[in-house]
Amino acid sequence: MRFRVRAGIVLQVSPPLSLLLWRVSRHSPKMWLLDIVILLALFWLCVALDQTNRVWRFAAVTISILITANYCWGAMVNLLAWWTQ
Amino acid sequence: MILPVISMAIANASVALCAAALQRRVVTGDRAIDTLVFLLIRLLLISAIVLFFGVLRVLSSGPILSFTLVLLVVLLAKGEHRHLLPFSISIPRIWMVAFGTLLLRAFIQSWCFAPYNADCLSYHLPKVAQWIHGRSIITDLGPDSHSTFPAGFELLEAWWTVFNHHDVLIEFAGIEWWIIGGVAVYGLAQYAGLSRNSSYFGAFFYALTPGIAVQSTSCLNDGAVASALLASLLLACRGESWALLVMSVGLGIGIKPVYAFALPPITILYLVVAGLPNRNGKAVGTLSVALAGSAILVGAFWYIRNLLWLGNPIYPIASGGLSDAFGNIQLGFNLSSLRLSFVSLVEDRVWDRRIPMSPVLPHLAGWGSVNLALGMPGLLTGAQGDVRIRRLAWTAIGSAALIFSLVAYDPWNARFVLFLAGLLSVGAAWLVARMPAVGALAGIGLFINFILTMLPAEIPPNDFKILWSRSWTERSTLVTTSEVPRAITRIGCFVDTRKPVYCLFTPDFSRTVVYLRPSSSQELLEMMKGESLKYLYAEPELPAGRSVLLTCIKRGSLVRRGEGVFELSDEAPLKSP
Repeated sequence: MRFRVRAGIVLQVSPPLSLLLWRVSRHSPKMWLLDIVILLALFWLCVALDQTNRVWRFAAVTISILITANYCWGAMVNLLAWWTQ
Repeated sequence: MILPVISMAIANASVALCAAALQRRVVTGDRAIDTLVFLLIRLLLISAIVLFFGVLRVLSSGPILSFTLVLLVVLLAKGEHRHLLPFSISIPRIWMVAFGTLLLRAFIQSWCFAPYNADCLSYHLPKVAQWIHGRSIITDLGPDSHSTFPAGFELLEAWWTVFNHHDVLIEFAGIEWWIIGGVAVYGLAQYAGLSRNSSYFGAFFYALTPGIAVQSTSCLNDGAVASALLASLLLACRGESWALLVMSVGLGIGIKPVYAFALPPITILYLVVAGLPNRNGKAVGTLSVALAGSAILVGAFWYIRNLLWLGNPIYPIASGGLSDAFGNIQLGFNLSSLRLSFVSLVEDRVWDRRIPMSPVLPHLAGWGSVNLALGMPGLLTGAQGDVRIRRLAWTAIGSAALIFSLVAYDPWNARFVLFLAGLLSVGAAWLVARMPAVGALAGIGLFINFILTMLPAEIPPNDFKILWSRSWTERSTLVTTSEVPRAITRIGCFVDTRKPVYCLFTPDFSRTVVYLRPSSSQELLEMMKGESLKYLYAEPELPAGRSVLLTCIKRGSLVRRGEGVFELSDEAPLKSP
């Protein structure tokens, strides 16, 4: 692999890895696995490393389902509680 | 009832025809940009008209109707209406139905809601009420320290209230900017290389973004700022005439200073694009420069007024910022604000689950599930392979970082970066275009967004039933006003913290509200007698103000008639015994 390609991958992978480390180091009691930063960082890794165009597509669908489910569940529970108060 | 409707129709037809005539002379050939420029020119004309008549102290239906009628006759005589046909927008029928449904719902909400947000009732709308009631923009701005802030958005609200002398259509101002935001997102999606159909998806995602949708009918100006920023971003990324970009800047700075915080990255983007060899930029004509100059004058009016009147263009914000009973405002950079705002955004607010959707977005981001679940992955992936999306993304990130660095960290500051939702909508449309399977997720997200934005948190279902049961002519969200007999045409107002004083004016602005700032009980009574005031709305919360009020009550000079409402006793002594 050429130096330029390797450097490009390192440059692309470093920010999401830094974000991951920062996020994990916070030891949040919340559901950190579903945290938006870590999800996007993982996704960024998939896109940056993928050469076949399949991995990021799978990652995109997975991440979209996870976020949609988490968002809709929280928002609807909150909304129902408000409407029925 | 008929006459105000006819007046409004004539004035709007005149302004629209004039805007179309001007737009035709600065046409760029790009459908999205031309539509956007038409809408911006229209808002510029409306703002200039309201400002002009307001400064001349003749801000009422008659003079504006006379002016716009003459303008309409001249434009028709010149045959400008014959050029309207090529300008007409051809939107596919399915999208006409989709956008029409959203628009219809916004109109119904606008009709049913009375202004409800605390900031609006305290300092945004009392200005409009004073202008319409007093027919002048040069007037007492009210006790709220934020009332001296720029009021470009309020000019538009005044336009929708001046003809019928009523606030039932006041929310249309937000809807106008909401449409501009949708057009800008459509243009940005086109710039990002999306097809026409996918660009409509982007605009639709943006229009149904929860924070944007609730803002559009709330009388708050943050949705307008988001749309103005997206408009500027579109004009910058296309490298079109700098004058058109400056026109959008003029309108933006007139709405809120936060708009200006986001400008440096947009300016850099324009300079980068303008420096490219294959840019779209054309020669800047005299008319474009005139439009830009007019917009800057209209936008800068508030800063110049403050400078001449109060000695500080951003009064009351001093070098140390502003911290008073009405809130805290930061002046200058603060990296701590940036860090806290970012962490709060990604850890908590993006999920929109702390409270129901509210236009001030307390502990909310207001982006919705489509922008979050599809927009972020779409934008990240798109930015990897397309320099245009990368440019947009970096500009938006830079602007958001600047805004978060320059505004104080508080539970409501995510509303200042609502424009990010526009970029995320482009990202979501990009992802749906390449992976149609995620369209199902978009459908679920849009449905949730639609439900979330039916009612704002400030109007729970039971309150909405009460509002709905009232006649539209008397619709008001403040219970206190019901304590003031409708026949009372003059009332004093004595408050020192954020209170919903707008409701005192009544929905048809028929009541005169006199702001009182007494330093003693004796002065309060003298002021009331001097102004021939029999009634007083008083809810001071600071120790000095409470002391003044309590002294008057103890002496029997003021008699409580309801929550915060007092009547001046006939035996009230002018001098202390």
